[in-house]
Amino acid sequence: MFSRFFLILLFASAYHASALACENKLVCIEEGNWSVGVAFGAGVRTNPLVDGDAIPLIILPDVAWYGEHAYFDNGEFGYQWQPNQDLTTEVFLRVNTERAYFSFWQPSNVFLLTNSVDSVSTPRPGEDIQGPSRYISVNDIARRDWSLDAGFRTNWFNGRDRWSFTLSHDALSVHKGFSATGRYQHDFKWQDWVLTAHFSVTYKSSNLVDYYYGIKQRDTEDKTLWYSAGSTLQFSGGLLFIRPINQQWHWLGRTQISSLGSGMTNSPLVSKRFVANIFFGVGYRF
Amino acid sequence: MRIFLLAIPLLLHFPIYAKDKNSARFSAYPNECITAQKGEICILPITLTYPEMSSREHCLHINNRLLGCWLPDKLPTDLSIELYADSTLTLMSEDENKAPFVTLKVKYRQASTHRRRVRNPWSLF
Repeated sequence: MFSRFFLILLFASAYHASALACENKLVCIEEGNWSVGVAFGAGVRTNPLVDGDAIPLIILPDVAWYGEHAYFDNGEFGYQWQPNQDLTTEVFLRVNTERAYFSFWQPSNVFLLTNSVDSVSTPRPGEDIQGPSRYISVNDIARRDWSLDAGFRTNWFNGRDRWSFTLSHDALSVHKGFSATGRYQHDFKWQDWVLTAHFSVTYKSSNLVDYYYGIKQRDTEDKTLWYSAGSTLQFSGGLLFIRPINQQWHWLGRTQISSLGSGMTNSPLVSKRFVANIFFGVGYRF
Repeated sequence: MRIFLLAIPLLLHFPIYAKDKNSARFSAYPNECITAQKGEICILPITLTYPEMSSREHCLHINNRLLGCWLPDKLPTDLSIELYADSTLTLMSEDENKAPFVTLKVKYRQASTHRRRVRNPWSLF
């Protein structure tokens, strides 16, 4: 279904990509040039899995390149069209990050210098936990595989507001699921700070959620722990704020919190209802 | 508002000749028009050189749009053409199968177009 849809997109649209009048240095990039930056600071991405390693954020890279249509942006390869001044559409390929919770040795950790911090430990009897009363450690289950998302996104711009809708599918048939995301983003300035706030809601299909968070015989012989996960709805909100220090250096902060939805939180593998992502530091733009 | 910019002849560029095997060729000079940025109309004054032709009327077409028909000795040598994108100027006549053409290119001075990023910066993890 997706391949046919992509072909329709390819042949139906022959427009130049997003050459919008773009002046906000926070979200704009010069066509044909690499944008490479590195940020140093302190932060963490929490892990909702039982015994899952929270991910320390010490060094953050930022790598992007945009051609006339093709682009690479922080791990996402894509091809973009601009049907009109306020609308862009792209098809893309990116790593599905769901698997990141299951291993400390995810790509992000290539850039990290320290050991994991603040891991979610296996709850002890009597300990108050947010998840179900039965649980299983991420260390005791079968291996989950990485996957690639192939999808399309359409964006509508209205001044400093951006609405987008994303549909992505499992390109490697690892979980055979899909997800859909609606997102709103607003750019604004406050004193010397440039800020971007966003809110999104994501639907994840039962195949996707069940592959990663379902518990089956492959994970344990204890049938009381078996769990078939259903689809889930996740809400997310975040803020990115940057204050220039000079041409290359700037202060950088990022916060985001996401609810996981009952399809995940009812799993014996999950002990948190939310995932937080926080980082504060300084960034250098090469 | 339509911003018209003068075409800037590129002195280092030689005219592009028509893909015709005649000894004298259909050519236009200059064949490149430079404008500030995409979406703007580029006005290109060109000088045309013609091959040997029959005495019948010949017509000039820009992207299959008829500009006009003239007898060989009345064909315009200087034209000013509005370009929206790369275009093809074709010399056609009823009695000749071959239709020599030249390609007129549009370039943009503001090559460093800024685009809005799909993802926010620092959003890898």
